[in-house]
Amino acid sequence: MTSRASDLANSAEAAWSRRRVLACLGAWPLAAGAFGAVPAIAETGPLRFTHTFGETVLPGPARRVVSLGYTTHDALLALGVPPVAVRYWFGDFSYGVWPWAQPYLGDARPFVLTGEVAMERVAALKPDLIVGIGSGISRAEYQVLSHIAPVLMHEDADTSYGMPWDVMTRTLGRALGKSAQAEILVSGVREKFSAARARHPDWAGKTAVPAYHWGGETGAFVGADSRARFFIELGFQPTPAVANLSGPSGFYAPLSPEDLSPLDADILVWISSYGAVPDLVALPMRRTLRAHIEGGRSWQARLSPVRCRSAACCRFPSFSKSWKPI
Amino acid sequence: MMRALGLAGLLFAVAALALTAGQVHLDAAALWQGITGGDGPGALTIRILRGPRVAVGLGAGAALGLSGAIFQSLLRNPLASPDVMGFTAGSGLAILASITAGLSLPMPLVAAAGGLATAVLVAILARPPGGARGVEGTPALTLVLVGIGVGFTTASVGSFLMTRLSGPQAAEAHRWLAGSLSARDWGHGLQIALIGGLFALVLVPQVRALKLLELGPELAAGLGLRVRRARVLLAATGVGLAAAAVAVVGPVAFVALMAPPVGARLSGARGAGGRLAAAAAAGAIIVVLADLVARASLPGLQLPIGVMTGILGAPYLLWRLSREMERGEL
Repeated sequence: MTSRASDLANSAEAAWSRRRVLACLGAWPLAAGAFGAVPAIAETGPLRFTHTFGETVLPGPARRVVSLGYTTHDALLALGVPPVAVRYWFGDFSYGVWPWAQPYLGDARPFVLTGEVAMERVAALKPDLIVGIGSGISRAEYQVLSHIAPVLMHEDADTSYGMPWDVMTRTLGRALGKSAQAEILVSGVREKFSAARARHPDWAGKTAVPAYHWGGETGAFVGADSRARFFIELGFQPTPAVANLSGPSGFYAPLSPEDLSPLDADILVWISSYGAVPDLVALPMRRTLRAHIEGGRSWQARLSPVRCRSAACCRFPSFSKSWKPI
Repeated sequence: MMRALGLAGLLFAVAALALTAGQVHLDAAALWQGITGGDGPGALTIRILRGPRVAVGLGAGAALGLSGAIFQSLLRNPLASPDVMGFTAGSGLAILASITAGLSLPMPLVAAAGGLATAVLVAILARPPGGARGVEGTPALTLVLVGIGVGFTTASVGSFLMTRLSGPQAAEAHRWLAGSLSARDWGHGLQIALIGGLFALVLVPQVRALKLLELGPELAAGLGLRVRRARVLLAATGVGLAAAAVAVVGPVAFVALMAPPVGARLSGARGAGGRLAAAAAAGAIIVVLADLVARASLPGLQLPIGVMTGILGAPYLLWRLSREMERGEL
């Protein structure tokens, strides 16, 4: 590569970073300061990752990434490396990318994988990295995929879908040779959380529970799940009953429809599809919860995603004025 | 004879098609590279991704087909098969239970134990009141219906056990219970070839007994067959074959049910041995073809094979039931 070409590449990279950093931090002075900290030289040499299925070695920073995790493409997009394939989760959005991350796609047209991992398709895309974090793939699938390209998995201490957003962002940042940028993304989100805590000191010590209701099952998000952590990062804490739940999956725990008392928090947030609202309203035991009894505290909102700041906040609707009482 | 050759040709053609077709189109050069041992994407696709998959599909399909043919001959009922009668569900439950208990026993052994236990349970439950004559006195249809009931119970216990598993284990178990050929390696291929082959060898000397039993137990006994012993041995071989398949692909439904009549129709085989061979070939064809459709028909979407055999098999079961009712068997 000529020096001119590499300058061009660097400036394109810088433009990308600036946009993202601005989006991440939202504040000019902070952004400028943080931007100065991005090192000009990327990490080189083999990158080693130990994870639940063993060790993965990357010869160098990855550029063609297949993202098999159901949400890992958000972090990859935020890091400025649009994946060549993404895993379809839900929602009718092009390339399986939700609105907050669409602008980060640029010209990328990732292939959308649905159902079991179609390994031939993955192989045909000739990736130099396969992200299996948050994908639920088995050890056998990991082994076969490893013939195609290095595969990243969650750490041994985490569950399949429970790698904390910050650890995941940092791991992906390292794999892409963009550790500094990942650091900025993570600290940016952290600062937003601490700013929110500072603005609302009254939230500290209050209880909040993110709950779901679909397919006739009601439950709460628990443990290291990003929905559960979101409220903890804002200063809330789960109700003692929810804090003790682990659930079969480690990230959500179903409840008996006869006893929804674990959900009886100061703030109850239902994270469900819009179509589930009538079912949710009809839940008999909902009427025993404070949120209902004390009245005027139940609201519904269309998902109105905020611009992507990082993987962490991407799956949450903004608290907007459009919420309607239910 | 010509039709038997035709079936063999069809088996070969289906296997070749499954190797050459998939989510991704490979040109002739890449295919050749993959087959002859070169490097590159063709080699990866053929040798790591499609090859073991097709090999495991052929082996498991043949084992299921043989198992179905044994039970259908033995009980002289086209509804008898290890999947309808709950034996494969029993094998599946045993594997699930060993995963839940954290045991790391060899899957084929656990599967065989579960299948045999279920078969014994079905035989005991189906025994007529005061049945001094044992299983011999039990009408085949009773065995089938009791088997269906035991199968449902087994599946429910399996669902319960699933809730006791941790996340990744549950996801793995769930995928496995639907039946999947995803991420199989040559080790799985070797496993089904060895174990399935072993049971097929065990079956060879029993073909004569199967022929005699088709004449009816009295006549078979009159011709010098130890009926009870022959039946138990044949049933055990059938359960073993089904368990061998279940251990590598999961309890794939309906293959064992469909393979014998499809094989007989395609090959025109009349003798017991010919029908067994035809059922094995038909089972292999059904599994490989169903897997090909499941993985390659829609771009980006890959389904587990169990979904496909369910789509094929459920209408067949209904048609078969209606036929049996017309004939007054049900």
